[in-house]
Amino acid sequence: MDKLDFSEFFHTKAQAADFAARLATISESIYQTSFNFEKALTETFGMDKKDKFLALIRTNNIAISSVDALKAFLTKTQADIATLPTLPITLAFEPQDQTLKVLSDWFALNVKRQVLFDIKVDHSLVAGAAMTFNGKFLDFSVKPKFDEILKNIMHPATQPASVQHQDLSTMHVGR
Amino acid sequence: MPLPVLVFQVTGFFLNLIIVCFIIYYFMQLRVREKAIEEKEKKVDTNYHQIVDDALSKERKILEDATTEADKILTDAKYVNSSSQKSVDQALEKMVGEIKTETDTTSKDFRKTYETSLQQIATTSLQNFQTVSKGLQTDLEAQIKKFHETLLPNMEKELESYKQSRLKQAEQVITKVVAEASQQILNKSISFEDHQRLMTESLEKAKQEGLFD
Repeated sequence: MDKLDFSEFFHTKAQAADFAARLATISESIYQTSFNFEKALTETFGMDKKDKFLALIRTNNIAISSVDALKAFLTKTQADIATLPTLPITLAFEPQDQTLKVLSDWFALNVKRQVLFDIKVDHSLVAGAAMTFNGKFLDFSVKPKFDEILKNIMHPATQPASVQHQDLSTMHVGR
Repeated sequence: MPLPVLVFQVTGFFLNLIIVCFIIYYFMQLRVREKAIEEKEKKVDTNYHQIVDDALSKERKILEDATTEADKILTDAKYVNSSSQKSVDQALEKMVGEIKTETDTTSKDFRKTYETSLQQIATTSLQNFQTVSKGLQTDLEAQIKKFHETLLPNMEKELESYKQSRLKQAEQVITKVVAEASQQILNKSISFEDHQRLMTESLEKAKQEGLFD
């Protein structure tokens, strides 16, 4: 069984934690005599996500009638969620669902894997984003350039004569 | 009449006669004594009047003598009184004159002494004041010199340092305010689409930097 794709269910670390907790609740009650899997999914995630989750089960050739197979799939799902990497990212604006989808799609397209975003908002970044991944911190926001420009304006005597205006493409990495 | 009765009668008669004689004798003696007492009383009365008369005459004489003596004393006393008053008046006049003279002399002396002392005090005070003023002037000059040589440069240095510190603080505050204001204005001036685009560009940069390898 390959790695599962959860991009349609959650994008952020908090959403993933919530999803995993709901799955754990379903998994715990799966052996009850009156248990109905589809009903439990609908009550837990809603109709739309239930259908998507059933599609995921079918894609992975899991028999819905087999309680043990469902139990094993749910356990694997929780394990996969736990292994998803987290990307702490700081944005200069309040993200919307659309933003999360753009981020998620970009990762799916460019990095070919899913990450959980741990999003923080800092308006002082002005624009762009700063992120930490695999122990490295990279600041691609406008803030460093903005600080440099501001410094040159406030202290013109100390400004080097050769410094020219830079756009976002010439930003330095790191802080 | 029997004899014993006669004898008894005769004896009784004689005894009565003796008793009568004795009573008569007694009365006669009593009369003699009374006469003697009257004579004695008369004599005493005479002596009494004589003594009283003598006493009265002596009394009158004493009174006359006392009056005479008193008049004499009064006359002498009046004389002495007027004489004494005159002497006292003269003595008082003389005393007043002497006191006046003495007072004039004393006041003149006192005034002279006072003026002399005042002059001396004024002279001394003036000298002391000049000395103190000179000392103060010297001290003040020394302190001003010291102030100019040591304290003033230090104060100027501290003042300059304080001025620089305050300017730096003000500059920092201004920079912070300008920075925050500019950041917020720029942040809000960028549209949501541009923010997302810049975010994607940041991810592209991160990928180029090999962050996700």
